[in-house]
Amino acid sequence: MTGRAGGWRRAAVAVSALVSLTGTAACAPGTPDGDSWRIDAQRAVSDASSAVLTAELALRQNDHGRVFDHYLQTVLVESEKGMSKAADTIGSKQPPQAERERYDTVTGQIDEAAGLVATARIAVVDRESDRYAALADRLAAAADALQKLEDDLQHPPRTGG
Amino acid sequence: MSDQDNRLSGALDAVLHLLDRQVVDAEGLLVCKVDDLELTVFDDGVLGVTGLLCGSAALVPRYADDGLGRRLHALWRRLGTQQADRDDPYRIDLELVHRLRSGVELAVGREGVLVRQGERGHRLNDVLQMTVQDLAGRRLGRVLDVRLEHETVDPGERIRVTGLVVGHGRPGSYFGYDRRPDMGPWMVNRVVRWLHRHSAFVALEDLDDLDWVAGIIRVDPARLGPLEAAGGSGG
Amino acid sequence: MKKFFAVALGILTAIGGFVDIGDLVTNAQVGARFGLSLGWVVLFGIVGICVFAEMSGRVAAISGRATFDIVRERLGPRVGMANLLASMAVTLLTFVAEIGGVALALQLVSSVNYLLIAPFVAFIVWLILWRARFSVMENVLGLCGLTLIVFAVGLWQLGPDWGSFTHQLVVVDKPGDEQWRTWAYYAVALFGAAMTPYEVFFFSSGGVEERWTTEDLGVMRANVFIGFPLGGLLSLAIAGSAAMVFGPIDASVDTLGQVGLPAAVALGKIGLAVALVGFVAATLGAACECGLSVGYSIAQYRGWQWGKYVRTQVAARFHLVLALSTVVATMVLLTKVDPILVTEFSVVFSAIALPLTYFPILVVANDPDYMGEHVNGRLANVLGSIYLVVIGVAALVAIPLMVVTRMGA
Repeated sequence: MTGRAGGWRRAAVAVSALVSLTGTAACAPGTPDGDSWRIDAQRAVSDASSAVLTAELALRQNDHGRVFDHYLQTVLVESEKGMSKAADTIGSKQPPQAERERYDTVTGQIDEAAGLVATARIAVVDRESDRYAALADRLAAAADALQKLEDDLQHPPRTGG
Repeated sequence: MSDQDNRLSGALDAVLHLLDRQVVDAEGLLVCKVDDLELTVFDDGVLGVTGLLCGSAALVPRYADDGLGRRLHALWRRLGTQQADRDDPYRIDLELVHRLRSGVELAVGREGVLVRQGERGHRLNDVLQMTVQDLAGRRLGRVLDVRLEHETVDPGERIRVTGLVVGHGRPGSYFGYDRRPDMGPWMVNRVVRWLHRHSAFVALEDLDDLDWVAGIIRVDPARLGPLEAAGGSGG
Repeated sequence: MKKFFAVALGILTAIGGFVDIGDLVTNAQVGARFGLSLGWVVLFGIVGICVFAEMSGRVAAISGRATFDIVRERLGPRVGMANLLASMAVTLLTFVAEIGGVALALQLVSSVNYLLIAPFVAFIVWLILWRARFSVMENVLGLCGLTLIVFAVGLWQLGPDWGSFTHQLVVVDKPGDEQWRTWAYYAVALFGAAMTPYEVFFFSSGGVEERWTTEDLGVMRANVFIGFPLGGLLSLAIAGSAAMVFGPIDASVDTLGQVGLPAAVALGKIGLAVALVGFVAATLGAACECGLSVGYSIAQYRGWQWGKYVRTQVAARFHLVLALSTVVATMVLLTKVDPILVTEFSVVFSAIALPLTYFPILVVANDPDYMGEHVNGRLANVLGSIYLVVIGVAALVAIPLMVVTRMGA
């Protein structure tokens, strides 16, 4: 009998371990370990760049007359949400000493891009279609910068300039 | 009840063919599941199935195979201490059963057919949770299934228990492969038959002792015979 | 002639009803990141669901018993209860994702926040489950879901390199910038999205709802063997068009709006509108199926009267479960959890729950007591056994992969 009871206790421990593992899978743990921060930053920048690119793509499609207003609005709102999620994710993580500089760059660029997406969203909701092309160009530039940043984050931090 | 199509007219295995089956009424509406079976010892000493038991009072005790199940059962009972009939399951008399095919078909409509009639007799679950020991008290295994057979007895007919299927592991998890050597798919067949290679059949009269209270069955291992499908080659 | 019409209707409904929010999102995500290099998983999953849907449909037709009846009978009440809890959890999760999907699709059409739309959608779902005739529900939503063909048309319009696509499909490889474990994670997710357990509950219970008999086996098989693969091709079309639009710019897909963008790029406003109609129809249909599946599982475990083939008053507990699960799903959505995230979880957990459902079906489909002369043939058993092994492996590696790849990030 004790063998069985012990077995159930072991099973309960295993199950709760599994559940907690699963829980942490969705919410990335924020350890200030150097490589871990770099990977998180890469993901955040990648998500941000996807959101910016989607916003740009949608705006350009509107100029070609391929999307309608409600859809465009929702896509922009979703992009904005994606940006703020990326900003929150990386902004709340403690960067290790060696990554302080890149932390500033990452958060700065993401915030800037987020502001741009917000501007685009405002323009879309107000139906200022004459501004779309210019906004799309600025979004393209922001996306470019983010992608360069993502490439840079492939490597560990360069020490000393 | 003697019908080509009716399993209850021949030999069958309680767990494999009858337990956990859907009960359907005369109009085809669903009634309940066969959560347990009522076993009665008749005047002539024969053990037989006399009714279907349904409801939580019949189902929850079936979880009580091990510690967790027992705790669940205890919890369930605590939740209803004020009820005098907490352990009293709903009962359908076997006379109301028309036939057994993929489900149990009743001869009546389902309105009011489930009645609490007070605990009488034993339950199949009691047998399934018994330990099987040899004459010296060493554990041989447990009861995996109970073989039943229809018999006509003056003035009517009844379903009697003719023997037990004994082996290692739990009832309900053998899917009948141990009794049906040719059932596919091949891979599952091999695995299940290997897992239950120790399963055997013992006739009820060959049992040394069946202690309902202690939950122990004593049998001489020499009395254990090979396992075959109920009713021979019957469908 | 009437028979031909019935068969055609069945096939078209099967095609349109195949895709749900899990397929939409997962295929678009995978297409954007991996091109069609995971397309073989979709094809493999389609064959799998065809094999098991046919088996469960056959069991329902011959014995009049649906999947969860069989789960409890074969596995016993204990393992059956564990199975029930797990399957219900996954199906409820999928239910949440589907209702969220309808709300998101309607947001794309109206730009009203999806949280405001969600309770309304849940109410509509409940109304359909309560009132609409089963066949009407299936046919209408299935046919409307056919509009997702716009993705196949759009893909054609985008003019992909078919040679490269075929190469990706056939050769098991991954894009250079991705890791094998992420590739494996998405393989499991795609597999779970293609072979959702609720599909099988629903299909076999639907067979009992529609009173299938031996004579309906032919039509059922036509629906499964023609309808499902064509529906699966729609999944590939979604993946392919996402690859064409998002692949070159190196963007990942995280929202339903992005899933629809390739239709706009290829075919303009009309294409986009048709795609959105398809989204609404597919997710609404899937939501109804999930809701019903929750009810089916519980009722079939306990032995309660279930189904829409009887009057509501006769299946009181069943309809109560449906109403309650709709309320629960809505409350989960109103916690502002991202429906896309819920979708991602639901497909992975579907992969984990698959063995619980498929194993009993495979066993019963071989049981002459149940099936008489219609037991599985050699081919069904060989395929069934192979898939059982694959399903088992997928179920085991799903959670480790999910943890190691941080849900495919």
